Amino acid sequence: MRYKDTGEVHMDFHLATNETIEYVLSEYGQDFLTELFRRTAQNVYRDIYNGLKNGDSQKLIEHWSYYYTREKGAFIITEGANEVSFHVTECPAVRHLLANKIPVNREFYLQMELMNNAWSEDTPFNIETSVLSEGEYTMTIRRTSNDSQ
Amino acid sequence: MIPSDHFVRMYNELFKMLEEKGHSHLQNYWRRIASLQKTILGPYIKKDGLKGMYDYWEHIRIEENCDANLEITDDFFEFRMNKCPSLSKALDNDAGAFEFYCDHCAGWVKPVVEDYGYHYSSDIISRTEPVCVMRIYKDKKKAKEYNQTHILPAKPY
Repeated sequence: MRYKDTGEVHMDFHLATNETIEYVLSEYGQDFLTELFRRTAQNVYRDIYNGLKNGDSQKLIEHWSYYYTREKGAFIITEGANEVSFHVTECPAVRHLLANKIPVNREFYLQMELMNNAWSEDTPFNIETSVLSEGEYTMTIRRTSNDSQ
Repeated sequence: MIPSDHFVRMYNELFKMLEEKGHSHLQNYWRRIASLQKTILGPYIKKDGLKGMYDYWEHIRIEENCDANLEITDDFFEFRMNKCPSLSKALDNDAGAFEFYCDHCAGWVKPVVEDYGYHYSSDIISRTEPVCVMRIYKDKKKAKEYNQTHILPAKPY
């Protein structure tokens, strides 16, 4: 893994992410937020993105598994013929907002959706994000073509 | 989910995008995060002043895995960063660090402490080495005197 943090976790950064999403949407709109997550997905997580472009989704699965585990979230991975489903049953970020009595707006989930859209851009994958209930969602990586870049 | 550990690298990208729109856009974002920061740090200061700051940043030192020394005197609270995890992550980043990355820290702490009547003084020292010193003074004159000793004073606004 390109980034693999250890030690303590400062969960309050989720509050700042929530505040940032609200601020960017209200001041600059969704296109700006989309561009922020595109740069994050493709430039910061270049290693994961290059893997996807080359037809390898394992680095992304490994990244999700590591960080949802590190933050004591709960998830189930299901593998099918052409897809891998990462089903988050307890999102640590949502849990932390709720613990701080901060309502979780639909916009908070844009961080997953926009990151996944950006990760799948120009790759042989589609990554579908479906919010099921508060703190529960699936992220399904589906191979849509055999082409890799 | 953007992992807590990676918020730093995400907002590093936001800093770049806001700076592209003009520096005032970046400053406005810092002020917004300062408002959030006030809801978290504020109660510590309100309750215990400099001792409250010490308690807050001791908690930060542990949670954010900082290599840092904290000191409290009759005049000021000092947070001396020997290895900043935040700048370290921004530098260890395939997208590259924003040129004025370090300024955000003063950007979202200075307004909070000033709201409680304290005076902020911070020496960034270097933008490429993860070391810095922040002091928060009771007395404005002493904060200004300390400013004169800085290698690279933080001037977020």
